[in-house]
Amino acid sequence: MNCRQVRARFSELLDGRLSETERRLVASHLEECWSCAAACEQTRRLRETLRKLPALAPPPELTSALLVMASRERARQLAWRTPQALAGHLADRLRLWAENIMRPVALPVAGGLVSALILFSMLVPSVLFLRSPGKDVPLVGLVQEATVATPAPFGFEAGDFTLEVTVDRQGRMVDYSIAEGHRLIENPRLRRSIENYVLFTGFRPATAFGQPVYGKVTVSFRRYRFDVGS
Amino acid sequence: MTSRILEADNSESVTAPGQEEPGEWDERKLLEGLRQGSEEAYEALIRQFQQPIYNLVYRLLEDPSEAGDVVQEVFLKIFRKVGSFRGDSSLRTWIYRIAVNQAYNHQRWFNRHRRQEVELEGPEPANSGYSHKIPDRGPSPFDCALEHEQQALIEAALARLNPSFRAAVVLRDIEELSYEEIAEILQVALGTVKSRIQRGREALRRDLAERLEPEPTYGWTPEPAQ
Repeated sequence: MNCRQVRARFSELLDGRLSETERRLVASHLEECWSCAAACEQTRRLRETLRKLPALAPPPELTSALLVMASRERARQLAWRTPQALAGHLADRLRLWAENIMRPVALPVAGGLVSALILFSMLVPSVLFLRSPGKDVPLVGLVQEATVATPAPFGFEAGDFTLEVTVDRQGRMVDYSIAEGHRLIENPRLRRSIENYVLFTGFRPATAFGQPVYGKVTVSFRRYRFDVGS
Repeated sequence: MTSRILEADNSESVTAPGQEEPGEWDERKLLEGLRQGSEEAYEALIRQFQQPIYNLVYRLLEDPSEAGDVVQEVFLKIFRKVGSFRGDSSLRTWIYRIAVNQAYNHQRWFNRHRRQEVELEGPEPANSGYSHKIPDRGPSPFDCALEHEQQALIEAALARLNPSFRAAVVLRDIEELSYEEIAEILQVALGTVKSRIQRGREALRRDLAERLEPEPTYGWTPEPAQ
């Protein structure tokens, strides 16, 4: 064997993997070749030193992380064995998820609710007692119809008829319709007289819960005749 | 010298089958426990393999500070795939194969992404990994210092080694696995394992000889005092 062949077999020689014949051939070469023997000795020492390298201790947090991971993976593995276990596992995950979601929200929500309640309870009495007793709206008859407040200070001559007058929130006539006596109204002159009369009549607006609203009032006109005996 | 060289070490694995250390689980029992979801089996797996896997990954990565993360990835893969482990190889070989593959994957990812990043604090000192090594109070402080220096140099030389050779040398000389186990772990032919171990050791020897030795011969390792 030449030096190249021998050097290619150093590792197998040191690891005891050469056949007896090869070992003898290498050994006889090493007896004669000082350079190969030195290289082989260096390789042997290197091998020994590598074997003596200290074991590196894993960081302590790695052990904890691995144990946590093992626990989680074991639970996951067990969960997939039966439908019941899977359902329990999913329920646990859901519960944990819900807790994780709710926990950060729970305190602010509870605080906000309590604050709102306190503020509300402080403000409500002041709002209630602001109203003066004299202007209270009676609870009975919450809706009142519009009525005539003051008739117009003049009259006119016509037959019997009835108007339906629409009154706004300020007590003013905004529209009217003839409910009875159409024939008499056909006279334009008479109609103007009627409209003037209604315009100058004061109305009391209809109310709903104390607030003035649009409403309608029915006004009937009847002709009176006074016979004076002669 | 030659006679000492020829006293070859034939013990290829640290523990022969059936000779587990106290507290260690038999491989079959461990595998069964893992498949059944036994808590003790999970803990035993971590206890038995955490340190060797950490050591292996630490030495295969160019940035050892990533070793912890890679070890977690390795164990996650073990936990998730143990159910489909067919037993074609031993559990130990299978676990080491996962570790080597994971370290290579991480290294590839590191080369693609992280290598371009610049650390604000600057690189860690080369021997920082020894700050948490398991203490041994036996030898004198001088011996410790000398040994520490020597170990740091070897670790640095290992880190400079070609990754393929480094994996083979680490698995053989530090993890003390057999050639056959290494072939299974690295998924290469036995001849390739022999070649990688030989070439890795030779490259290491040359590197150390060039850096340490003022003399042209093999005096880079001090002789222990008699």
